Amino acid sequence: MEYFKLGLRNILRNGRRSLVTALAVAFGFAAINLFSGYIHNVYAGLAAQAIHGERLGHLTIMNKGALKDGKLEPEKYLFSGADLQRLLSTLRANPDVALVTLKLGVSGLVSNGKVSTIFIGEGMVPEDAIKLRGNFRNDRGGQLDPAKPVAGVVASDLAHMLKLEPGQYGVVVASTVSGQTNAMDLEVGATFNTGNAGTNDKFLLLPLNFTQRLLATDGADRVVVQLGDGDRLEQARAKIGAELAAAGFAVELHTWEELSAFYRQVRNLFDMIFAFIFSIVLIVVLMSIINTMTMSVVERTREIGTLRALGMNRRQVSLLFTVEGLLLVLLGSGTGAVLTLLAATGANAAGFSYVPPNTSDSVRLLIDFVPGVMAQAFVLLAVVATVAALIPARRAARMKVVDALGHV
Amino acid sequence: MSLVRLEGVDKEYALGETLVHALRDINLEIADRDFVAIWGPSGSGKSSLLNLVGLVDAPTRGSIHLGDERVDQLTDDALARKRNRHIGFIFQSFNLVPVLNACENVMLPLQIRGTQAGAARQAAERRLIEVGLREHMHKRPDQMSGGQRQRVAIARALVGSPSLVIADEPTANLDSETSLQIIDLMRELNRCDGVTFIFSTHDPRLLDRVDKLIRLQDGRITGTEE
Repeated sequence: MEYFKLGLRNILRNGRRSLVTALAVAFGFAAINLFSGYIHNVYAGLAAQAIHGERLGHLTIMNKGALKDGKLEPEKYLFSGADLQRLLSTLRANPDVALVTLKLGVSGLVSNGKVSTIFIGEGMVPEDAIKLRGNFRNDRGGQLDPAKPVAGVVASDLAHMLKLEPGQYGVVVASTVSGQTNAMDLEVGATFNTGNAGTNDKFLLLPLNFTQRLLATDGADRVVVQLGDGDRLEQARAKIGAELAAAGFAVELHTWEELSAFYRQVRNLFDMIFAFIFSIVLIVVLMSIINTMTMSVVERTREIGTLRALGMNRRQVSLLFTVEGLLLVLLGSGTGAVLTLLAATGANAAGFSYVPPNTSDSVRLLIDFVPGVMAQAFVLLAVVATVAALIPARRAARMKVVDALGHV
Repeated sequence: MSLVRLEGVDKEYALGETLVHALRDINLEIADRDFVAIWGPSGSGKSSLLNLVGLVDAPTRGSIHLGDERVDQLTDDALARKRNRHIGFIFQSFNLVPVLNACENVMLPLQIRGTQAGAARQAAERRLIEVGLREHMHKRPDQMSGGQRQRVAIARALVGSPSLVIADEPTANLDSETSLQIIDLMRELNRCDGVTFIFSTHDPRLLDRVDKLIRLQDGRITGTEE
């Protein structure tokens, strides 16, 4: 039997009804695609912000227990200079690793000579910090200068608060690892927007050597690893973890996602909204298909009786109507894909921007075209349509032939 | 040997709270190659009888045999296969599938059976030529006259080479001249192909063309004329 031909002709025969149903599917499918394309772009942006903007890299290695207890007693969880040398040589021998660098966290007070305020900061090797940042948001500025060993980068709100301009000096005060107070002059090398409203008024990026001198240590509290292929994160984590354990290090490895609470929170929120929208679309599609197919079954009762009289069995009748439901979703999804392409292209070209929550500057509203998600959405819609069509189709198949033939 | 045999068949159905006796104690044998008319007034049970013989309905009591096989207790799937392989149907309102053209309508029984499209098309075209519709093969039902539609239905009934064709009031929706043409065509196919035809009618002008006449009244056979 040529079910698809028969199904397609019956869809065309009831053109207006089919159009309304296909459009319901199309708009639903487009809504799913556009929202998933938008959050795909947001996730990618947040991932880049975490990996490159916040310089978390792909993996961060700490002494065991540092993430949980390191904030209270950071000195206990520092890697010593000797340990760092061994760690670095082990990591650099791993072919998955593109870059290894050190981080040393610091907090204290920063002053312009008249007023002071708290800061949190990180010491990094300037050359590595530049590599880790890559091309991410170069418009924000804020790179360490390898030629200026006492110049740090000051978050723009903090610099504004202290009225510090690039080229001017301030003073940073912190406790050394042995608990004594230490103060050092700091040149404002550059100011930059961290992109995060929570840190833009208190963050300092400092050269590692400067930070080590401030804290009076040759160690670091974190080793940051950038991989050649970020998609191989979990495999690389397992392999690196095993290699470090074999080398006698008691360390813990964390992915950028585990360390970026903001990313996880946003992702959880958007995933929930996506599930909500998807559920509504599925219900609309389900009801549309059931309604259309039920009307079709009622109108074609005598035809069903004829086909049964000619020898079609119940399974074949059921298949006939199921195929029609599936074809409606195919038509709707095809139209929806075109709508998605047009709307996404239009929105991306329009250059809309907005300021997201907890963010210190505006971002472009961009919608990605994600074929994988579209394919998954289509498969789900097709399954829903099949189930929806099966309900009236089974009703059609179970009709008594003689009753169906006598239907007026 | 008879092609169709009904023994002690009753058919009852409920109409609201009323039990309607559509057929009572029907005993009937129809031989191979017969051209049989069932004649009776409206409500006499003609359609009910044809529905039972065509295996689209089940008797309340009694048995139905097709050849030497009892068929009234078969499963729904087995009945569908029997109808497809052994029985052709011609309906009063033609019952053509509106979205298919004449050729595609005639192909249906073969395609339901699983015949490849090419072979089904060849067979359908042959039957349509036989019934005089060579020029109308690609027309949809709504582009054809009543007589042409019924010819398509006849071609469809015969395309699967059934042993029996059931026609329920095949001329009721046709003018008198076309009615005679349709009955003559059925008669010719009966003679040429050796297919048994059973048709119901209340048009007395058609009765002189049949081999056998079964008279029905109030659900009972009141007479049989050879």
